[in-house]
Amino acid sequence: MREPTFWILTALVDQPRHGYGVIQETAALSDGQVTLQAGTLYAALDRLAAEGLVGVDHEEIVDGRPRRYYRLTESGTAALAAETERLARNASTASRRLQARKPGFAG
Amino acid sequence: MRPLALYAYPSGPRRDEVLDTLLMAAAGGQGRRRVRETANLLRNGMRARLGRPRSRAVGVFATIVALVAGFFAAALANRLAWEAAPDMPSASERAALAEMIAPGLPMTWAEWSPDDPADQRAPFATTGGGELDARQIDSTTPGTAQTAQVATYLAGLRKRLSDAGWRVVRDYPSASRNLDGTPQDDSAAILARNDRLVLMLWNNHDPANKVNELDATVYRAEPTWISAVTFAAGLPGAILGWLVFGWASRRTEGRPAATALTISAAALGLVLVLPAVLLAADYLTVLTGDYLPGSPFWIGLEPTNEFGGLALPAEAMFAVALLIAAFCRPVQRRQPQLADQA
Repeated sequence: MREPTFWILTALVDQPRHGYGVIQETAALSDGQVTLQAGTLYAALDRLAAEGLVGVDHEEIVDGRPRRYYRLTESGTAALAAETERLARNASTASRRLQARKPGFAG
Repeated sequence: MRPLALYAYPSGPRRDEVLDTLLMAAAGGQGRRRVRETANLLRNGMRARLGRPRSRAVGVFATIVALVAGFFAAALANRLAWEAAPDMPSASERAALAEMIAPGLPMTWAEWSPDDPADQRAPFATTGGGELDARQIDSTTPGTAQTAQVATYLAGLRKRLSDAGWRVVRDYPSASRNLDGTPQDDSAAILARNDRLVLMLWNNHDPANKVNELDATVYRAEPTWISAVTFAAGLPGAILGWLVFGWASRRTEGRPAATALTISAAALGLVLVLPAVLLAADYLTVLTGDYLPGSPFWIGLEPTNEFGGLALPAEAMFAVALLIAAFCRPVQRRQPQLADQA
């Protein structure tokens, strides 16, 4: 799972969000590391929808334009959980090895 | 104001949805780098036109189709533009050419002889043997003791060409060869051009067979504006190819049988047209000034060309692919739908 995808799914964990809401939330959650362009976001949402990981929760019309709110599906929740677990394992493994290396540096 | 780049997206609510997001971002004080934003919308919008958001292959296929469509458009534009090409050399220009090529010799120019006399003034036509050629003038002049000194004669010709503002593109031996590769005589040829004309000259000298003559052919060089028109037509052709491919891709999306049939027909068409496309790569020599219109870059689409017979079945395959797509009723699009709700 690529990083923008990870943050998009993470942004949708607590509540459905519209496109700009997802952009804002991913920027906040990633400490500004991921700033999504609108085109990139909707391409990712199309792909995630085709994979069944997100869906449209509801839609409102604002100034004559549709504003869709996207939500995480059960598959999306499971995929994010699996990815989170994988990343945690990776981080934990790397941490252990770094801890083991420190005495060598000191000595 | 609605950014024009939004029209890269297929028609539907997505355009307005993206616009809504852009407006909210602007109202939220998010700085907009318009060039980056436009490029992003164009790239993702054109990708959205292909449908099948999970597929990477669809982008590769669309790119190939776009290149081939660009080639077709450029070929058509080039052929049409040649109708407005400058005239063949005038009588005085022909006399000056003769004097430069063979000073003092009775050199006369003959018009070309297309297979169909009605093509006499056409920029391209088939000539003896059915091969496509460009309109030209030709001359065969008996050689002299001076022209029989091939190297000396060609050195003099090169100087006269250079003095007259011509550029020698190629200079090569043209003798018949024995089985072991050794030349049977000292015949040689020269290819030169200026902004307007291309000269091919063969100094045929084979004493054993009592051959001593100068053969010259003069073509019109491709004017810069025709090259510009050709390249300019390639881009809209490629975009149109991408859009038509996207239309077919979206219509057949979610229909495995129709997808397989459409891809098979289109892929077969691409394979059949491949030789013509590869021959067209020669057109890039127009950038270095080495392109010769005598063998136009679209010659592979001509029925008389050795590969030209493949062009028609290729076009038929593309038509079949489009017909299959046209008969498909689009199923529910894979773009997120309200109906996706659990």
